Amino acid sequence: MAVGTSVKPIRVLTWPDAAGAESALVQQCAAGDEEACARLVTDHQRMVYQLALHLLGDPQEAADLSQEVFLRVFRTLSQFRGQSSLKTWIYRIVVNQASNRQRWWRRRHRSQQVQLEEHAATHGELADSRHFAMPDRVLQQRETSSRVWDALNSLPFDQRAVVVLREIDGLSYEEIAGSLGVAVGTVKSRLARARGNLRDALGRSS
Amino acid sequence: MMFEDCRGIRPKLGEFIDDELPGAEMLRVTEHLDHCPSCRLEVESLRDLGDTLRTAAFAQEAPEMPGLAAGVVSRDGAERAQSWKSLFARAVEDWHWAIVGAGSVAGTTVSTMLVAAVLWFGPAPVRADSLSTMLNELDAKNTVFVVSPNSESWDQVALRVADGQGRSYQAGPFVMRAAFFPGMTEQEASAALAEAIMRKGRVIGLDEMKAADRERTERLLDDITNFRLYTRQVMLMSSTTVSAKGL
Repeated sequence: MAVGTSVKPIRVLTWPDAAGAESALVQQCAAGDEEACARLVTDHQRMVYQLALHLLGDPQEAADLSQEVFLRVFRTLSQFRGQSSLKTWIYRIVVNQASNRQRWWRRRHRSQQVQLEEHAATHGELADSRHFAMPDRVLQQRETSSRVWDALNSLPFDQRAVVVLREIDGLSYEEIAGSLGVAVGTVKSRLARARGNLRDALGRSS
Repeated sequence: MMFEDCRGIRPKLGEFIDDELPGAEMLRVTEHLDHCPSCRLEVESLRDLGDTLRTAAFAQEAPEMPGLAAGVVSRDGAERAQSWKSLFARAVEDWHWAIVGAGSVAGTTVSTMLVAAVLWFGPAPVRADSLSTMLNELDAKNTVFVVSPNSESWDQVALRVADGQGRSYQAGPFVMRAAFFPGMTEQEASAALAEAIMRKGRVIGLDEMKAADRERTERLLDDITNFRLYTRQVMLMSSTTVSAKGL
């Protein structure tokens, strides 16, 4: 091994107790135990909401989607065989539901969408009242954040999903593949494209 | 400046920062980065991108959503209550005795049909001349089984003899019967012979008889001889002797 180089240890985590508890929770929920169902929702609601928010970019949509996701989880819980972790399985449902919702939303609202320039020509410039009475640091943070979400939303859904799952949720390639129902190789290529496109989009907007 | 092997390294930089490269590849990329500022910049850029995304993401506070669990559980419960399984369970929850009764009737019907089918389609009753019939009849009173040789093939053939008197033999080539006096038993033939050859307390010879008496006596003798000849040839048979004789 060359001097000065280091190889990070491979992360191998076995957590049989957690898996057993998760399996017991799933069984209780499948049997209709309301307390267990409530616990499952409470344990995962933050994760589901944030992923939905990052995929859809709208807090209200994300909240609605969270409810739909958990209903879907309970409807299909009997099909959960434990090949993947419950978390990965729920991620998959979130991504699928978000994808469906976005397709539906685009179909429904495409005709109603108005270009910003067109809107400005008709109604005048938008008054940006949010910027009043805010410290510079907070303002800058919000602007950066807004640029990031705009760039993220400009990506195709498949690329957005993969980059969100990797960079924000910190899933491994294998977990992402499980969540999206694709091969690990597909995850790698989508992630590379997504990073390139995201960098371009952020570069253009800065 | 780009080194010669940057082209092979660049596509792997994403996997490198994600810790998804195999050990050897990881080592190779790390060594390359030690002397390639251009690829180091690329790695920094990729890491910055991730940091930017995470910073933006964590800046957003997730709402508490206190009613989410209760709402979802309540709606899920309502959906379950409306599912066809629940509807069916509710519809039949008071039917358990009726279901038990119907099950019993169905079970009885099926069993009866099964027995009837076995009786109807099962094997036919045992034939009268079968070995099992003979063995069963061995237990009957006053019944013996005799075996006589077959004159043609010398096979042994079982004949049934009812009550030991020779009157109810079943039909067959070896049925013992009186040739000249049908229906007469050996004892009757012997009595008739004794009567025919006795005159005034003494036995008379054939020569002393009239022709008709002599002929009748000779026939009686023939019948008795036949009876006794067969009697010598026959033997009592049981299931054991049948087996021993190789029937």
